[in-house]
Amino acid sequence: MNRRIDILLLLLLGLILAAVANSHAQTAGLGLDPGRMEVEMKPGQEKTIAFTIDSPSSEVPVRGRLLLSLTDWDVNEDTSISYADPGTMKNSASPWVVFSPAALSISSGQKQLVRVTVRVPQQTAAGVYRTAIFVQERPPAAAPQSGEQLLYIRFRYVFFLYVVIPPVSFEPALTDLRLIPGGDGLHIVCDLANHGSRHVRPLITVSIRNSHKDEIKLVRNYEGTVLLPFSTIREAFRLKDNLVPDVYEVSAQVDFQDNGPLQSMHRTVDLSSAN
Amino acid sequence: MKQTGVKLFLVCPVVALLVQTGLAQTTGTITVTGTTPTAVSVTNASDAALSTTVALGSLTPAAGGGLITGSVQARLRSNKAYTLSAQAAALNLSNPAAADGGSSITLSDIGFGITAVDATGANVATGHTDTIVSLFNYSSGFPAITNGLTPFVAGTNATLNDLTANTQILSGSRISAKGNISTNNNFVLLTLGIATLPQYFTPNTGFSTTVTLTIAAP
Repeated sequence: MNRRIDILLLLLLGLILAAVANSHAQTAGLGLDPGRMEVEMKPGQEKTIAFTIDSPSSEVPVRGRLLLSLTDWDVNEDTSISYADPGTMKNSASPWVVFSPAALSISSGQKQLVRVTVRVPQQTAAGVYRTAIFVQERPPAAAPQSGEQLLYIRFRYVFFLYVVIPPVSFEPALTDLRLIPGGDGLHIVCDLANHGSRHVRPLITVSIRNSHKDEIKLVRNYEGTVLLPFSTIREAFRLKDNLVPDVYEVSAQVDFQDNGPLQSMHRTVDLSSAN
Repeated sequence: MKQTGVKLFLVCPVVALLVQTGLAQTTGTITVTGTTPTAVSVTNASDAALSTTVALGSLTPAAGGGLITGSVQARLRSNKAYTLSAQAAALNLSNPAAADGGSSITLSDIGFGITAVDATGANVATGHTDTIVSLFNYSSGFPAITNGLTPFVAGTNATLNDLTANTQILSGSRISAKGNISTNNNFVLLTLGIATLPQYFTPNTGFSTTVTLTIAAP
């Protein structure tokens, strides 16, 4: 009888230890699910979609007040993202969007649903329109106390929304391939252009080989930055090490995921006289 | 006997129903539908807060003094390529004294950058890569102090002054192979470093600024 109780106690202890170990793995923070969404709509149509703000369980319970706000956004040629006041950028969908709630309290282990209603005005021309919703904690209002030198680090999350008004078309192209020096070493740069009215998401494979056909760098199926309609970007891949003097062949292959053929390009770069 | 008859009377419809059900279930297809949406997250590795505060403490100038440093760690997860950008608000000085021809501490006196990126978790996506924007790359450490003045060189060593507009500091390919926001080996552990050198700046009783880090997968 006593032996049975001992075994039960051991099992119970194991369960408690497993639970404690699991709780240490959990941390505070936030996640958005999904982080982006694409909806196809017609002029005059209204649609409601939703995303979830997810706060994981935490050993030390976390409670926070979140503010939500609309923003316009764009992708720059160097693939960085710019944000601007809602309704100020070309092809902004911000004026068509209402969402709820605009502020909410969240605690560890909770999920909060945000509903987003899009009303596309009549007579809207075909194309891809964009907006986004920032989710961020309320900034501290109090001035620093005497003797305090503080940096508040605040995380901001972005829900991206694409509103696609058909008909739209794909017309992406790999326009150039270069090997150029940067501040932190050599970069293989793929120049991509989109002459179409629909955005594309390129998958890029790049490689560089020396004169002996040894592969120096290979990146396979890298998911490049979204290529917005009527835009160009320079997707750069940094080489970790400097290249010794030699003649190199640089290759790139891009799958724009547009049901079109793969596009590829090769360049021969002579660095044999380089220092 | 009558009891047996009643039992048979009750059993017969049940058998009939079972046969009918059996006949209805000849072959069938169960369709399971669903989507795996793009998802991103940031969680703190050490602080139990949605945001976090770095206290630089008392900034007293001293002979041979070094940089006062602080750091923040964050776990980034995503199932698509991501970018991380940062923006610093203006420095909020409390009770600043008269300048008397001197200088106050400014955003360009506070170094800020990425000191480490650790993507070694077992459930980090195969072939994952991160690219730190070179200006913000402090993986070799902060610059050395040579003359008691701010060691951060504009255009070479990033400071908060480089973040007055939203500025990309890091990007990368898909991070998480699988798992969720609580999985302990599917994230990139990012360490951000902050540093400043105590100097004879114009006195104040305190200062603060807010650095907003934005994670995005457009």
